[in-house]
Amino acid sequence: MSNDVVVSLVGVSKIYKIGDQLLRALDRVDLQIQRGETLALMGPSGSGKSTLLNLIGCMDKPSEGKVLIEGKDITSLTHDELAETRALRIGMVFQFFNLISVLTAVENVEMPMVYAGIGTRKTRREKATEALDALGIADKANRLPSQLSGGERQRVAIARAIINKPAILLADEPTGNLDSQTGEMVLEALRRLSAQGQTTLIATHDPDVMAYAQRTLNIKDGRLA
Amino acid sequence: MREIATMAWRHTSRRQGRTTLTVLGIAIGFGAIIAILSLSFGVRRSVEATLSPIASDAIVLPVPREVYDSSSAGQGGIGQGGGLLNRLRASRIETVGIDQEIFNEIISTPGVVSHMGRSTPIPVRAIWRDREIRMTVTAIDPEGEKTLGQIVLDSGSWPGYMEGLASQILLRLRRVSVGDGITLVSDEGERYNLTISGIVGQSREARFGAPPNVPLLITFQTAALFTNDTSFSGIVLSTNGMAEAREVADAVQSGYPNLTVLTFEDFTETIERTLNQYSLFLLSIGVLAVAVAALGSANTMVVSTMERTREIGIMKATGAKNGFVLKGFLLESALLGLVGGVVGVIFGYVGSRILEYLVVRLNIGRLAGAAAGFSPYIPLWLIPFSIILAVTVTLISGSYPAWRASRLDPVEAIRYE
Repeated sequence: MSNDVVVSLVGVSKIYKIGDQLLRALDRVDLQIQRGETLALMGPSGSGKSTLLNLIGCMDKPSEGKVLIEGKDITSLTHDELAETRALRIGMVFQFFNLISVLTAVENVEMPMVYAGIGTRKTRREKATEALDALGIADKANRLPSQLSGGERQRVAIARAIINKPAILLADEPTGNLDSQTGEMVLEALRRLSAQGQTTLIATHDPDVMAYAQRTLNIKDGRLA
Repeated sequence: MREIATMAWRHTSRRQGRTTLTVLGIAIGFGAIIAILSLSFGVRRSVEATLSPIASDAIVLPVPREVYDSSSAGQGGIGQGGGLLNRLRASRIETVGIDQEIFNEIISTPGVVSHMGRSTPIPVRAIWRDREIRMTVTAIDPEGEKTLGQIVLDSGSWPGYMEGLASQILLRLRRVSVGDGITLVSDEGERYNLTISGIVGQSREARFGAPPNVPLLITFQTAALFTNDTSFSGIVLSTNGMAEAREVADAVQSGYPNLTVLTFEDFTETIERTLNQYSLFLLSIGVLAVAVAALGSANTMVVSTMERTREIGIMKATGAKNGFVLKGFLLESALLGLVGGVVGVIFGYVGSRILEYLVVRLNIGRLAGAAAGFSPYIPLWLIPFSIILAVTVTLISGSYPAWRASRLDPVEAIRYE
């Protein structure tokens, strides 16, 4: 396997048991994502997009097959090892921002460093402030999420996702809950990160994302087209 | 850790209504425990203060130790005209006599500084105010009584040969004055005219050396005139300290295995047992209050984890380990316990003041079984102890919700609405 492969899925299936029935959310998926690549993941609702993101994001384990993040098979990892992988190698941006309501913007950004035990309180604060500055919201650093607009919240979420320089940034409908103008600002931020070489996988319906993505993955009924 | 603490504090302070109610529940529970314990400690302190004057004394009673232990021990002593002896007699338990010879040997034990002995009640016929009456007298040792007894003279002086000390009982029967005469009649019909040398004053009810519950007190010398059978109901041996009292007690006990020799420690042990039972009862009420507080705290934490399921999902999705989530919720529980414990100490103090008011002002101390007046007492160590206990209780009650939160699946948790 090439060193440039960040994510590799080999024959990955995810099967859920609902009552007596088995639901195959992903069906023998093979995928490789190269370092620095930007991919758009498209598919109708219920096609398996979120399941795929959860598996790459080390939030879940496959029922069959292997998921390798920078060459390391996550299927054999413990809960804590998975958490550590999420903190250090994965950045997640959600449709509904998912910030911690009692923490300020800068504190939210610091948390992945806290989880991973990186730096001192002072260096963490400096790094988090820099990340917010790069996204143009350093002046909102000490505000609670409830005091920020949707676009600002999503940019805080992006800053949190990239703070540990992850191997891959996963975004699940990052503009889905924003108006077009704010969505454009968020996309611009993601585009800049891609341009800087950040490997990114974006689940989206937004044609603008497809326009700048180097590759578009289409998923239907749990299978990649 | 600082970040966990920050989150715990903000979550706790954000939900003011719920936090206040939970803290109040814990505070009331622990306040009740402190107030209840203060009552128990107050009684204990009062008893110790009452007994401390006899700390360097050894008490000799004319019953074998096993009989003493199996009787209603710890009551009577040598006061009350041999209260214990009377009860033992009433229950037909055989007692051992302490005659003058044994008495002399006992009081010459090395280490004895002073002593006091009283006879068992002696039944006599008496002629008083031209009427023949039957009564009991007790022989006392005026010198010993002056140093070790609690007899207070209301008027007159201690009795000498052919003199008697009239007690409050005689005073109640008929008016009596110093200088009055009373005639005691021996079994052989000999008459002895005694003079009342003094009147015993009202004395606080106490354990040892309280005035015997008989109408007339005379000296052993006078008693020898009309009875050959003067045995002692008890002897108090005074020493220079607690250790010496123990040594004297051991020496007398080994010389006279049929007698019971008690020290301050023996009495406190007996009283301690009684107090412990009393405290245990009160404490069980307090434990119930704390159990209710613990349930309240557990309920708050369960609701809190449910409300924050999504937040737990976010934390885990962004890299938090199970331990981080667990610590966060445990710290929140501990915080509730800490604030509840501190407020509980304040409640406990106020509660103990209210109890003091009830005990002192409304004089219900006696109903609570106190020997004399007492006030609730909070020892200093009880304050940190209560706070630590409050934190421990809330930690235990919050451990299950915290554990459950830490085990949440991130995918499921983040979807939770």
